[in-house]
Amino acid sequence: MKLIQLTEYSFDSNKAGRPFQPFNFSLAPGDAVSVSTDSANDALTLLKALATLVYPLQGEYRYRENRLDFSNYRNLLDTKKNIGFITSHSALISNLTVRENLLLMNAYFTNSFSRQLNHRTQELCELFSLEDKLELRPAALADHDYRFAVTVKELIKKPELLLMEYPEKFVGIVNLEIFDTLLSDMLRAGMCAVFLSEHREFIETFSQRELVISKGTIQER
Amino acid sequence: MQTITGAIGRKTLHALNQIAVLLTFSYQILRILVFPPKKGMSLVRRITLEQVYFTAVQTLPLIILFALLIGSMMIIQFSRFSGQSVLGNFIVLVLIRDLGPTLTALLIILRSATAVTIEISYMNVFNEMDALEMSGLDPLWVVCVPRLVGITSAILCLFIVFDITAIVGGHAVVWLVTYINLGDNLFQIAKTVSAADIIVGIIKAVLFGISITVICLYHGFKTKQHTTQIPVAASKASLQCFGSCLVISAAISALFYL
Repeated sequence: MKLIQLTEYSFDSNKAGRPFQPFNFSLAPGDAVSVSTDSANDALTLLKALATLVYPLQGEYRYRENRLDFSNYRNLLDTKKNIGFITSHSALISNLTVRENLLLMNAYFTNSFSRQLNHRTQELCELFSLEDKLELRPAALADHDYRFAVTVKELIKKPELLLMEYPEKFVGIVNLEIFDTLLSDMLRAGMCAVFLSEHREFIETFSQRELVISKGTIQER
Repeated sequence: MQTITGAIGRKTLHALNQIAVLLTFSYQILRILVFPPKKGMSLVRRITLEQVYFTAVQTLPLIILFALLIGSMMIIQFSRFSGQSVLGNFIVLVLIRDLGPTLTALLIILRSATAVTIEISYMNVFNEMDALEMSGLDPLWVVCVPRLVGITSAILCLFIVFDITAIVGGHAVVWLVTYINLGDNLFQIAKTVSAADIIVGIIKAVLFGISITVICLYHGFKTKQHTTQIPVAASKASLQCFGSCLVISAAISALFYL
């Protein structure tokens, strides 16, 4: 079964305002696809489109074989929560502490206000040296800590699809090795990944297929 | 001439379009309030309480001070000109029916409405709304509903506090600091107040709360790309909030008293 299947899919480019040519694309569990592009903006728009944050102009988006209905944003929330989104567009909620940000989904879906992080979250916080920053608001974090917190927040969702923009910059070169191990485990467990990276080693390790964005067209290589 | 007509036409269409959007937006928030999803109920309840605290509890000292000043000022001014029963009628007419809800709304607009517009604009500009959606949280449910309930209930409570403080506290201040003979003025006021006056005040407070919240949220959500748009949105929202409160107040007064 395909996790996502895009058919004759087209959406507006971010800056230029020109739509992409319709394209077909699918991902099966365990797939990892790298994106190469002549415009980082277009790549981010593609990642946002895969995250259903950018709405299509035409075509069909199937998630676990269910056709997504873009007529109301609320129809997409159940899909969105299964997608990890680690990009420059990702954010933490600024009037919550890092801990509250990490617990937000749990509070919403289980109606619980436990301030205790689960074992996996604690482990990830330790990996990214966030344990002593949990009570800070996002504005008080250094840039790299902010990106680490976003990464942890997206990873603890246990996403079925992980979308990443320059993971080497996001998690930092120092943590890339740890992140590689995490990502390998998650891919083996059936997660899919689509990423834009300039880190040759990372691409060689993970990329099974390549999506090429060039002059408003998206093609698979 | 054609250019002027065209400009007036475009402005009118724009205004009508904006009213339609605001009404649709209000409907969507009210619908989710009437048929709430089970998910996130505790979280929404907590954010609502926080909003009530920010809007009502923290504004309370300010409202009491304003009410005392306005109440005593009105009593001092009008007791010079009129007999006591006329003063009672006048206070009911102005304070309970119109000035109370309108001044309460004005204080809330100055203090909380601008804050809500800025907060929502900021969240939008810095992709926090998208972050909420990517976590599967519904912004309409976790952001809009708590603010609507919080601000509306705050205005309703503060309007009651304002009226009582302005009348009773105003009399107390006048009695304490002046030699004006107030006689049985409080009794005259109590005799003049009718159930309709109180109901009108409550209706106005509720409608003010809804319109203020929806306008602020609308301008907050409209701010998309630049931080420089945030102060513009806050300024537009506060002006429109006050304008809408005056229109609502006039319409309800006309409906009940004409």
